[in-house]
This record gives sequence, C-alpha cells and structure tokens, in this order.
Amino acid sequence: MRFYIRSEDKMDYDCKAETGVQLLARLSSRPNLNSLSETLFPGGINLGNIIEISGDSGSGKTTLITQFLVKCLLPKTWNEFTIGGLGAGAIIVDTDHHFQILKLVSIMESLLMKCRESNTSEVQLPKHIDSKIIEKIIKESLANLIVLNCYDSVQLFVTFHSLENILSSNANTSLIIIDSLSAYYWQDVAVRGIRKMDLYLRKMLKALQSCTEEYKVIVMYTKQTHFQSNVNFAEDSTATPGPGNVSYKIQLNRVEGKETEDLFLAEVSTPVTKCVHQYTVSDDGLMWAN
Amino acid sequence: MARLCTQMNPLLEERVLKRLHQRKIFTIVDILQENADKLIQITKLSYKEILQIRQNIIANYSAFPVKGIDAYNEILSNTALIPSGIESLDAMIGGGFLTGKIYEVCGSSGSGKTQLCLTVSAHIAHDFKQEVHYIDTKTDFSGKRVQEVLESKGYHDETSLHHDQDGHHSVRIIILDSLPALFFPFLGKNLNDGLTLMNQMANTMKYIVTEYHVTFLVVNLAMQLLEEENVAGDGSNECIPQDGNLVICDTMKPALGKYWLDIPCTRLFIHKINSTERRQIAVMKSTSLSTKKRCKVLINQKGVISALGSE
Repeated sequence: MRFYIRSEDKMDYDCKAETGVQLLARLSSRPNLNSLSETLFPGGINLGNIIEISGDSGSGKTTLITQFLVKCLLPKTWNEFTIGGLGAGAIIVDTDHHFQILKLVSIMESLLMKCRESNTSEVQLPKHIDSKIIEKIIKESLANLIVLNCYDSVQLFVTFHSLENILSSNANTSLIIIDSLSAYYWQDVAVRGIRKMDLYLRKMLKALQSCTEEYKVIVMYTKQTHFQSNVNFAEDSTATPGPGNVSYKIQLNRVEGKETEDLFLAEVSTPVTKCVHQYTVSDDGLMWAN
Repeated sequence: MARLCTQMNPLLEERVLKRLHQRKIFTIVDILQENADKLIQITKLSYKEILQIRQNIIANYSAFPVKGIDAYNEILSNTALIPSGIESLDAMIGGGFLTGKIYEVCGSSGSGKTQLCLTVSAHIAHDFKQEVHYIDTKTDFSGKRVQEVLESKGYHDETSLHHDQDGHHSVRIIILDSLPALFFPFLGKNLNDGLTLMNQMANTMKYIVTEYHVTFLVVNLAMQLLEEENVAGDGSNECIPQDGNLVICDTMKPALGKYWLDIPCTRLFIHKINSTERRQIAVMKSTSLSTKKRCKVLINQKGVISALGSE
C-alpha cells in the first residue's frame, strides 16, 4: 500500500502560547446578560451583540450606562435576599469622563435598601438588608468592575489591545462599555484623515473587535447624536445581523417644550423593530414612564 | 510620541526599525495592528521576542486598569468641594465646585464672568488657603481689583496671602479666562485645525482634573442666535423677566461650537437683569444638577456677592 501525502494535508499549526486558565477563560461561557433591561430589550440581549447609544449632551447616555453597570455588577441573590442583579463583571473604557463612580455606588445603595428577604412567611415582616451588608455587597460588586481612563487617541487604540489580557484573566466579565467612542475624532482627523463620521465609528468598532472577537462579550458604546452621516438604520450596511454589526441602536432625545419636568424619549431600534419609551432623569437613574 | 524607537524596547534595534519602516510600520499603533506571523517575517525576530515587544508596548501605553473598588476609594479620599464664597451660587451648585470636573461660565460681554473669576480666586486664595492658578488670555486680570475685593472683606494684611512654606498648599483650582480668545483665530477658514487643537486641549484638561483631582473653571462667551440669519449678535440686550422666570437661556448659545458643548460637566450662564448691578446665574447644562436652577448675585466694589431672591 502506498500512502500519498498531499501538500494540502500538511497543515501548518499556529503555535500560540496560552495557559490553562486563559484557555478556560476563552472557551467557557460568560454570564449572560439577557435580562439587562426588560424595558429596552424585551427579547433579551445575547453575548456578542453590539449596542449603540446616541444622544445629545445632557440626554442621559452616561446615566443609562451607569444603570446598566448597576444591574450587571450586583449579584443575583445574597443569602436569603433577592437582589436581582446579573452577577457579571464589566469593563468601562472612559474617554469622556462624565462617568461618576460615586453615582454608581449611590444607585446601588438605594437599590439595595429596597431589597427584601425573598422567602417571607406570613407572620414575619420582611427584613431589609442592614447597612453593613450593603457595604459588603457593594465592595464585592465593585471588585468585578475595571475602569480604564483614556486621555488620547493612541492610548485608546493601545487600550483596545490590552482588553485581551483583561478578558482572559477575568472569566466572568460579559460587558465592555466605551463612553464615548467618538471622543478623539477631531484629533484623529488631523492624523489619519478619515473624514466621514460613520466610517470613523466603524473603524473604531473594528479595531475594538479585532481585539475582543475571541471572547464572546457584549459591547456597548456611546456617541453624540450629531456624530453621524444621514443613513437610515435599514440601509446602513452595519445593521445586518452578524459578527461586527450593531444589533441595537438606542437614540435618546429631549422632548422640547416642557416647562416643569425634563421629559425624554428613548427610541430603540433593531434592523427589524422600533420602539419608543418615555423617561425622566432622577437621582436613581432613568425612570421609565410605562 | 507614538513613533517606534529603540528607547521603547532594546529589541527594537536600528536594523529592526529599518525593516519595519520599509513595510510602513512607524508607530506603536501600526505594530500592534499587524499580526505576529507577519512581524516575524519582517523583523526576523523570534515569536517570543515579538510577544515581548507587544506586551511591553501595551503595558506602557495603554490606560491603566483600575479595579472598581480602588477607583471608588481614590475618588472618595481625594475629591474636595471648593466653595466659591458666593453663598447663593454655592447653594445652587451643591456647596461648591467639585474637584475632578470642568466647569464653564458663559455669558455675553460685560455680564460679569471675569468679575466672578476674580472674586472666586480671592476667596479661595485667602479663605481657603489653596493655590489658584489663573490663566489670563485677555489681560483682564487685575491685581488691584483682587486687592479691592479682599480689602472689602476686611483683610488688609498683605502677609496673610503668603502661605507658609511648610503648609500643604497644593493647587486645587485652575481658572482659564477666557477660552474663545484662544480659539477664534483658528475657527473659521479651516475649521478642523481649531477643532483638533480643542480636542487636544480638552484631553489635557480632562487628564489634569481626573489624575490630579483639581477643578478647572473655564470662561466662555455666549452669543445670541438671531432667528433669520444665525448671525452671532452681541447679546447685550437686557433680559426682561417673563413670569419671574427668565427664559433667555434658550436663545443664547455658548461659543466654540458643538464639540465643546459636551466637554464641561456643568455650564453656568450669567447675565444682567435690568441693567443694574444685578446678575442671574443659571445652570445651562449639567451632568448632576437640574437645569432649572437659578440664583442671583450682585456685582459691586466688593466683587460678586450673594443677592436675595426677590427683585
């Protein structure tokens, strides 16, 4: 018997050094964020989705992502108490510096104070969590958050490359937030020359994804409303579902003409659906009207 | 700054750099974007060495990952509230200016922005005993006026302003009066130059306030948008109160364009009332305060002082 070895059969193996921990972190599934927001994402969101949040200054983008972080970081339960969080880790890349960690903690605190014991008998009054335990829960939740403060365009690009290391050593991180993705546009226009704002965002998103595509996480980024060319979502080529494309677009707008209270509208679009929700901004974050 | 050089890593010797340049790889971003195999081919270095160069660049040029709990503790222990010394203003902005943030005061010419800055500087330097860095772009700073403000408070002793050498007097506030004077030469024919500079300046300001826990107080012009022509008018019209609630904010826009709008965390709008010494300060935009807030002040020989609610 003769065996012919064809050249195509000789495969080149790329040797990539990876520790056992890294392998597990890459392959094992990260906590899902399906119920991140029942109002905005009634069908749930999947790992690998990309979410865009646009709005003018003061419309609540940073407040919204702070709320998402609260839900993501808090644990599902604690002893007998139902907290309702997702118990997942998150990374925030901060380029705008409007994110306030003190606000994140205060929203967590006020949510925890409202939590009650899950299994209450008829006779006993449901207990509230005491402040010492609140402090402990917040400390543990914050341990799953990583903050990356960026100050210029080159640093942002290099930071994208550092995400790989961070994700491989944190197996329970499911969410990456960039606030905002358009912060260094004017600096980059002078150096790299991409003028069209749409293309710029797409390029940034691609750079981010080339560093994180091995890891199935949810990417969320914010941008200014005026930062776009006039393209309909349906016509936008990035809208078709698939790797590297935006799955949800949230547009935050202020409602004109209201004297007493600041009213806002959030428009959530996918390539096939569109939904509008009304909200106001309070100390505890965005309050949905319905 | 981003160009590859031997100082970054001893493995990047001259001949290696030459080979990279031939393939148009000049900066750290270029080298990170190439995959390892291609780099091995180009530089003739080993896989391990390429990996080491990569990790080295990432470690030195990326943002430093800070654990949430550490970021929280750092903010908690380093943030300070700097009162402006003007009671009605302090009450409106929640006690004073927070460090780690950029505040903007905008208004039309003659509305009192520089007076406000001088009063705040005098107060912080004297009452608070903190250093104030005052950056003056229009030669409006007047030492005599600061002296007048201080004397009216009863401080005649010159030496009280010289702080003792052993004291821990770090800078906590930097005042920039005013911003448009720096950028107007660039905004106009070639819009992009000005915006690129503004982007870089905003980046530097954010770096300073976040990493060093100081406050930046920036002065900007506000211009009136005339409906028909969108011409930037002088905006020196007096504000006529309507139902006790001035709505003049809606027709006045801060100068410097859309990009700048989102940079400060809080924008205060100051304007005249009835062409007397009275002024009203309103919160035009803020990440933490309601935009319905207003307060009244007076400008006289004593500087900017608090005024009570009623006209």
